[in-house]
Amino acid sequence: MNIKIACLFLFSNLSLLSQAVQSYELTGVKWPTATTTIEVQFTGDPDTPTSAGINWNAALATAATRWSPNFIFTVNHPVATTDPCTNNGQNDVGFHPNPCGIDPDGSGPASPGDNFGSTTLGVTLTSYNPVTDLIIESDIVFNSNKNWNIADPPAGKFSPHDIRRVAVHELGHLIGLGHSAATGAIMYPTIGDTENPETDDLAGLAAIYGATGATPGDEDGDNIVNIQDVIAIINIVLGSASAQGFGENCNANGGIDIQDVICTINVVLNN
Amino acid sequence: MFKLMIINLFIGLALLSQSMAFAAVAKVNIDQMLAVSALVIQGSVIGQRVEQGDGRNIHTIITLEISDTVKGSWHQPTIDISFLGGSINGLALSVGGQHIPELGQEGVFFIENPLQNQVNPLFGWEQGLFVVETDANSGEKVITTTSKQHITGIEFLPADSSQTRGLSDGVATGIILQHASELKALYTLTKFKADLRARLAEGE
Repeated sequence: MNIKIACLFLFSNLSLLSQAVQSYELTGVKWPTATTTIEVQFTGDPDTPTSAGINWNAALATAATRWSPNFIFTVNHPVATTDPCTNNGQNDVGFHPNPCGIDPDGSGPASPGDNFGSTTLGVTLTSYNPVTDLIIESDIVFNSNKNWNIADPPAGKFSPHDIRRVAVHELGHLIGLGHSAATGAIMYPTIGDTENPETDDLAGLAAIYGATGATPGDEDGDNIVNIQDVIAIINIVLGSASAQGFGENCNANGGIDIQDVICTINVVLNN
Repeated sequence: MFKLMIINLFIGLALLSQSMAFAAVAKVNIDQMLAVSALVIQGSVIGQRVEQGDGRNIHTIITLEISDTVKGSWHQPTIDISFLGGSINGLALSVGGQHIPELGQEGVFFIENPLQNQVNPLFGWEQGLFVVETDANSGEKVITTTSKQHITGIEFLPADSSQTRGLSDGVATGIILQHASELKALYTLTKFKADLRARLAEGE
C-alpha cells in the first residue's frame, strides 16, 4: 500500500512537471487528416511586388510550405479573387475590409475597417461540427485597411505588418493550434524573429494529428514499443530530453505527460 | 484499482486545462485603451444568447449590467455587446482568439464603440477586459487579466514605445503583472478606476 501511495505521489509530481514541458495549446478542433487545401488569390493586383520583391500570393504559398511535411497545404491560385467571406466549403485566404457578415448598426456596411475594430489585423474563421469537432471550412481574413508588407515593422512602430509571418501564425490556428508559451515558437503571440514552426509548434501538431506512420507509444521511432520508449517518455516529462514527436501519439491528448507514460506501459504489457 | 485511481487523478488534472486560440490582434497600451474606447464600464454578465445571421454568421451576445461608468455614458442600466462566433442549430463558428465573457463574470470592460457591432467589441480583444475578483486575504475587490494573472499596478507609456509592438499576448503594455516571488499588494478595483479617472482628467 505504501508503495502505491508513493507511486501516486510520484505520478502527481510528474504530472505537474508535464504542465511546464508542454507550451503549446490546442483549439480543440481539427481536420480529419493532416492535410487541407487553401485558395489564395488576393484582391487588386496580386502580382504587385511588395518592397521585398515578392507578391502576396507567393508570400502565402511560402507561409504554407513552412508547415510541410508535418501538415500539407495544397495551395490553389484560382483566376478569380478569393473572398474569405464566402460560405463555400473552401478555405479562402484574402484581404477584406471587415470580418465578414457583421452589419454594424443594422443599416448596411460600416465604414471600411470599422467593424474589424482598430486593433484587429486579421481573423481565422472556422466552421466546425460541434459534435465531432471536425473542421468544415476555415478562412483567413486579413484586414485590408491595415498596412502590409513582407518585413517586420521597425522598432517602436505598428506597421507595416509582415504578412508572411502573420500568415504562418494564422495557418497554425487554421490547423488547430492555439498560442504557445514557448518564446521561440511561431505560435508565440508576439512577433519575434521566428518565421518557421519550431519544436513546440510541431509537438502541438503531433498532439493533434499524431506523427505520421508512427506506432502508438513508439517514442524512439524504432517501430517497437518497449521499456526504452517508457524511459524516453519519462525523460521528456522530466524535461531531460526533447520529444521526437512520437510519444504523444500513444493517447493524443494534447501533450506529452504522465498519461503517455501510463499508456505506453499498457502497450508494453499488452504486447 | 490502483490504475483506476491514477487514471481518475489525471483525468481530473486534464480537465483543469483550457483550450484557447488567438487571432492577429495588435498589442495596445493602457493609454490607448483609455483614449480610444468610447465606453469604459464596470459590469457583470447577466445574460448570454446566440443568434444566427445569414449562413454561418453566428454571434454571441452578452448582456452587461453596468455598476459604474469610468468613461463615456450609456442611456440604460444594461448594455448588449456582440462577439462573432458561437454554436447554434448544430453549427459552430470559432473565431481564433475570441474570449467571450462568461455568465456571472464581473469585469472592467473597455468597449471601443458601443453603437457598432465588431468582431470583438473590446479594444484590443482580451486586453480590453479586466476581471474583477475578491482577494481572499483582504476581502477587497482586485483586478486580474482574463487569464487570471495578478496585477499590481499600471503605468502609462508612450504609444510608440518599443514595448507596444507586434501581436497581442492578451495583456496590454503598461499593465504590471505580479511575479511569483513578489509579495506586492494587488491592484484594487478602486485604485484602478481612480487611476483611470485621474488620467482622463489630465487630458481634459
